[in-house]
Amino acid sequence: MSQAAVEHAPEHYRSTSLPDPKLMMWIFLASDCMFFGTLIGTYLVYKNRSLEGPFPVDVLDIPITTVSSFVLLMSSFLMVLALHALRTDNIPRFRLWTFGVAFFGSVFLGFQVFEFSTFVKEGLTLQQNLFGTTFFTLTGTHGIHVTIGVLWMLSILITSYVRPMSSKDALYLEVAGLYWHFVDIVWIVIFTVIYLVEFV
Amino acid sequence: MSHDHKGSSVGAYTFIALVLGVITYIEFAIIQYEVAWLNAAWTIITLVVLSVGKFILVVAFFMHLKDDEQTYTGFFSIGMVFALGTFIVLAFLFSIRSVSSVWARSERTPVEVQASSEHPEEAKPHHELHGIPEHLQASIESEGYSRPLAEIFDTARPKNQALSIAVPVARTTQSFTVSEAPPLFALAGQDGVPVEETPAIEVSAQTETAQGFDTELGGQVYSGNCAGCHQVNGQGIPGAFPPLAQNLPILYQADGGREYLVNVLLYGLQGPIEALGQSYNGIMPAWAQLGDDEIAAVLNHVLTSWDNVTLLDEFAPILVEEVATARSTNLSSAQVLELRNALDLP
Repeated sequence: MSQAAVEHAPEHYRSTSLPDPKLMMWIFLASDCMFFGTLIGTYLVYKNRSLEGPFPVDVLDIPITTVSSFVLLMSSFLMVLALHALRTDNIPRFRLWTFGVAFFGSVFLGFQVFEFSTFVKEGLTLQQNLFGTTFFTLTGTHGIHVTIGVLWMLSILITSYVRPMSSKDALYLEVAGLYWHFVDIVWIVIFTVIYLVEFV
Repeated sequence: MSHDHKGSSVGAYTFIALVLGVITYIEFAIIQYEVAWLNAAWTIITLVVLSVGKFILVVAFFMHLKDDEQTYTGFFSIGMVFALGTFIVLAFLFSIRSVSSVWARSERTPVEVQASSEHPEEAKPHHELHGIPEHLQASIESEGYSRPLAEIFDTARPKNQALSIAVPVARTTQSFTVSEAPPLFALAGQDGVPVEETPAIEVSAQTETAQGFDTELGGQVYSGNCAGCHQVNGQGIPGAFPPLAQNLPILYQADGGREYLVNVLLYGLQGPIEALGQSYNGIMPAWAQLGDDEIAAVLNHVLTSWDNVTLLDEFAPILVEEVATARSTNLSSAQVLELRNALDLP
């Protein structure tokens, strides 16, 4: 903790010794679990209840989604590398990996834009059927999470040029990383439950 | 920072990333190349185990929960438990009805029904909701979920009539619930199935009206399937879903309207129509998954609700047999629209 933080947060008001930003992020992630749990549950409840096509097997593309899933997983890998670099005060590497995370996240979003526009071309819209409604709501919400993550990474990258950053700032990158990894594990679940199981 | 990060070397991260990549490829390969020795159930189990593995690897090593303060794990676990709880509750809420209806549909297959009519003592399955755990079955039966039971009794019956002399059926009245129920009911007694387990029949018996059709079942089908669009008061939604109140008597009394009403339920309708001087352009889904008795009951229900019956010169309830006949014609929703356009409406 920096000097300023110690002065403004007297020790006797605290019930835990844990850093606030990190604790708050974990509590937020717990609530986000419930959010995505409900969306995935809703998708499954309405699975196979669409009266009109296109149906999931008509439009879902496993090879492309496998590549985009892999990209997102690797962005998580770059995230831990970025954090490790910042902790060891290796700022050039930290900048490189942070940019890598934002870039891989953008590639994932690019795949999603491609997927969504292909689906719309094939006649699947938000209003078309229950599959469209629940699918776009779920994966769209996830895409918004990824977008926020990319913007967050870019803002950290810009900050590193505006003011000097060192291992003392690692906590803030770690919190952003927790968010990023969470978005990744949500996609791990979506990839299996929505995409792969459909083709069993 | 307050604590060291054990095992957080670049080498360890790289190894985890490699494992994650390999697992993703295995998942892809299982689906893409259809592994022959894995049946559907084991494929799903394998996929779930693999993705849970990925999940745990990311949470434990990339998010450092393995070596970090347990408070974080605690908070995250609470979120996960709530998420899974919501998930399980949703699954149970929605699957019970669909499980019982799937079973009811399988009861309609001629082979099974034939067997039960040749060997009346094997009719016992009619009284069990297969695929539902016993404790849930008990709660379904005790908490007024009489519809699935009624559905099962009713859907099994028409085939029995045709095939079996052992199950004599009174066909002189239009009442289809009470008059046909007792034979199966008697079989239930022979199988030692207590009378209390079949509340659906008793309820139906009480609600049988002088009009000779089952108002209870019709009301249930309506509120469960139709009221979402056509509304509880039968007024519909302007522009999308036409009203049933006041509108149905006009359709019913048109030449061919009675058949049209049965067909629109069985095969659905899509496209621009006019009703009571207003235009509507929405989708009426096909309701073929409902039983013949349910379709007849809900039609009779809507034709007699909201003072509709007072607008009819005469009303003969729609019979289960009419629905069965219409079901064999296999129309498309476009043909139903043609039927409607052909009606001579005022």
